[in-house]
Amino acid sequence: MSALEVEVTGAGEDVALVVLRGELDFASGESLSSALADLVARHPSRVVVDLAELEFIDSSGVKMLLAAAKVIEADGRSMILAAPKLSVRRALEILRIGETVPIGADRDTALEVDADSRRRGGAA
Amino acid sequence: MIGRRAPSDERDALDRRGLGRRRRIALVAVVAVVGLGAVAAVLAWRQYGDAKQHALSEAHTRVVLAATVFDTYFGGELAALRSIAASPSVVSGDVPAMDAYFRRVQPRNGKLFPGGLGWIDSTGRTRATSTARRGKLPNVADRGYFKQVMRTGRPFISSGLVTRTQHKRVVVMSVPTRDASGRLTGVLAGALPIGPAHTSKSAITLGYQGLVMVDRRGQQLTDPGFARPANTALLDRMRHRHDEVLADARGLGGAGGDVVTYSTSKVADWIIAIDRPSSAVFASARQVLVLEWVSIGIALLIALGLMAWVYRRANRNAEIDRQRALFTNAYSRALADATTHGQVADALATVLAAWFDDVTSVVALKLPDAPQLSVCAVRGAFRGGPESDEALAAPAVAAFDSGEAVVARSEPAVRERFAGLRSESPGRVRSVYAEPILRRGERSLGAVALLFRTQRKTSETDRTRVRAFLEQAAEVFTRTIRQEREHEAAVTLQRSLLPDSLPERDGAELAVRYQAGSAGLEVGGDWYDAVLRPDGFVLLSVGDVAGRGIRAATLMAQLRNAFRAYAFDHTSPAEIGRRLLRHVPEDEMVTTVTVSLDLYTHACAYAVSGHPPPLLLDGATGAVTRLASSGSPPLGFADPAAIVEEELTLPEQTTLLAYTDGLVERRDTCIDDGIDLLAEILAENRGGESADETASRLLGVVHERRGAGFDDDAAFLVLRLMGIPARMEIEIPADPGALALLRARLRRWLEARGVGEQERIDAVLAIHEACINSVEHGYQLAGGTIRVVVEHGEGALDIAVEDQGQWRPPTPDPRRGRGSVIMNATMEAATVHHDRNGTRVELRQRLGREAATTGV
Repeated sequence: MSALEVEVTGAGEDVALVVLRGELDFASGESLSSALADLVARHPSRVVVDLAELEFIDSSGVKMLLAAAKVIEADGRSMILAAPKLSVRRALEILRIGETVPIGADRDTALEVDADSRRRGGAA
Repeated sequence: MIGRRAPSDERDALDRRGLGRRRRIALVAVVAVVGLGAVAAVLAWRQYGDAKQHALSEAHTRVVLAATVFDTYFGGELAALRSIAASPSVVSGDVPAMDAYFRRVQPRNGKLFPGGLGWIDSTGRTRATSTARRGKLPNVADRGYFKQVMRTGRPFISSGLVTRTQHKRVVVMSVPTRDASGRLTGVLAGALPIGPAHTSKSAITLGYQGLVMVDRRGQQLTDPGFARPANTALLDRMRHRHDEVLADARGLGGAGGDVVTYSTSKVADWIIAIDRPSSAVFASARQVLVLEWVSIGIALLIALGLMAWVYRRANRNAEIDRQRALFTNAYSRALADATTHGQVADALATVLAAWFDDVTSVVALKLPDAPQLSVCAVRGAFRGGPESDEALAAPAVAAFDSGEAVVARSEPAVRERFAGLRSESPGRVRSVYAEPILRRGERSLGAVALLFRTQRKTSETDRTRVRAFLEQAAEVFTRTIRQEREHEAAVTLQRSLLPDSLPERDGAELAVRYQAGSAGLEVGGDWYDAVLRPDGFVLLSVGDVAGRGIRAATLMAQLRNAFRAYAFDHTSPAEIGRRLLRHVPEDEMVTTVTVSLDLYTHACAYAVSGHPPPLLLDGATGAVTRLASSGSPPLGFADPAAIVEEELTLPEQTTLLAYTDGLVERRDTCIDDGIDLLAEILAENRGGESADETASRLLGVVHERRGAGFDDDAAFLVLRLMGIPARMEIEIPADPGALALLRARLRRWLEARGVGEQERIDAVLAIHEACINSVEHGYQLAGGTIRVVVEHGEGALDIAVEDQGQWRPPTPDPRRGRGSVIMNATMEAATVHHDRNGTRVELRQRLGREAATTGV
């Protein structure tokens, strides 16, 4: 439960889904950073990070997500955090991550937001 | 056991046979004595018959003698008359000459014819007389004697007559008188007066009591009125037979049951008879018979009494012998079973007190460590009272010091020698016998004293017996004292291998006991241990190396040390068990149970390897459960994979008991019953009992219920949890990987303490960030220790996170870093102190504001 499990689906596709399970902290962050680095290298247009099964995130975890979001957005793509639990949302809120990375209430909403922004992007 | 009779049964059978034999002998003796008595009684009866015959013949002899006397007497009288009749005056018929002659021959009061002497002529006229002449002399022509003599010309003795002139009772002797030519001239008569028969003393003495004389006319001359006997049939018989003895006849008076014996005087034709009641005749014979019978009876009683006494004495002696044999047997058995000098002393004191009556036995021993004799056992009829051991021991000390027997036979001697002994009743000591306990005649091991309540002279047999007992005991004393020293050394060694103090923490108490088995003289392989880790985990280990001796103890010590080492690195009991397995040689068997417990969350895990299950008492419900679900075979037999653990959360109030089988196993009961019994005893704890009290109680009750102490060594450990602590104080490695466990434990602890979910999230987040600071900036990821203290106080959590690292200010400034942001956001107050010794982060979180914080 303490270890972090990272599951990446649709890495080569338009929308990539990253499911995080367990706890993301100073010790367990490494597996996530390497997975995200792989993902960014494949240039998906959208990255949805599913936090529904993440039990804990600390400041270093948040820092890691922010760093990944920066790289992805710098590439002109977007990253969305979806369905954080109470404990995770608390850390995200304290560190005001919502101001940088959009947070969806659940995974489906996040995927929708993702579609909308793509449509908007297409119109622009 | 089948087919084998207990020794006491055989003894009883022997005793019964002995008793039977004695009974038979007694019976034969009684029959013989009674038979002899009966023979004597019969002989006496026969002698009585002889004596009766003798009495009869004696009476007969008397009457015969009496008849003979009468014949002689009358013959003499008749001869005297005849010589008078031949005198010249009578032959010549000269009356005056006759008168003168008669008076000369028969003066007044003369002896010859006291009734008078006279001559009667042929016509019947009395002509001459010796008595004074008063008036006319009587004519006796009609008297029978006159007629008879005149008719026959022969002398004649008359029947009893009453004289005509003086009316005296007389018997008249008469002879014929003749003239010179031989012609019958008349009758010369002499009268003999008859006195009334009376019972004189001489008559009784001579045996003439009941003497009766009957004349030929049937008159009883012995009767004052010459009455005729009523029993005429008997009279006729007497006339006819002349001489006879009748043993049981009707007497002359007509009454029955008389002895009658008679004889006839031929001269006078009188019957002389003795007629007395049989009882009077046989009185002396009967007296002799009664006397003999009484003598025989008394002799019989004496003989029977004597025999009864001998019989009872024999029985009593046999009973005493039997009792003593029992005492001796019991003594030998007690000595064989004895493992301590105290038991030997008890056995010795007991057998001595039983052997003698009214005695108090004192056994005093010289123990290796004691400077003088110690009184080790006192038994007896009148022990107790205010007497001190010192006073009781005095005779024993005297015997011990002198090396010889000490005897005080009288009360003054006792008082003089042993003033301390009680002199007042009822504990009064009247004689003393003390004997040193010598081992093969050399060193004195101690002494025994017998304090008697009676003035007793101990016989040489008694002393020999006492010395035999002592000799028997001396061997065992030496053995037990040696064994006790060895045992003591073994226990000391054992204790030295086990921890003598255990860590303590708020909310938890530990107590341990190690009880050396009573039978065991070698060091055992039982152990217990507890490790309280800085991170708030407690690891318990209880185990037992099979076998005894140095080998078992050494392996035990190795395993215990290994456990301690592993316990600091592992919280998993199964993991520790698997590692311990490596230390167990192939041919050894070790049972063990390992328990891991988080003091703050009560999360518990245990692994059992061939060991009795620990018991868990829920302090709230009183329920006792066995922790038995995760067992593997004993170490030495188990695969590493077989060693698994079971997890559970202990109740807030918990008493956990882990023990070795010595606590529950007895030779004669199965271990499961022992565990049930232990669970029962454990469940009797109704809260509030400290771990130490529980341990003492368990030991006491188990001890008591088993009676004679522990068969085997027993070690056990009691852990008592008194709720979830309000203060968490732990040290954890400054390792990022260790923080996940910290967070999990914090969450559980806070939840158990009743802290709300949002507040739990904030507290865990803040403490985590503080720890990350230490790991990252304090120790630069180089390891170290972080101390976390969380105090759950009134409405707040006070948190401190400390390290001893050298703080390297991070870039950018940590106070503006995300960790600080989180701490400040989640906590009411957050301060960071740095100094040379390290960093201390203090956080304070107000509780009870769930609603407000949720909204953020």
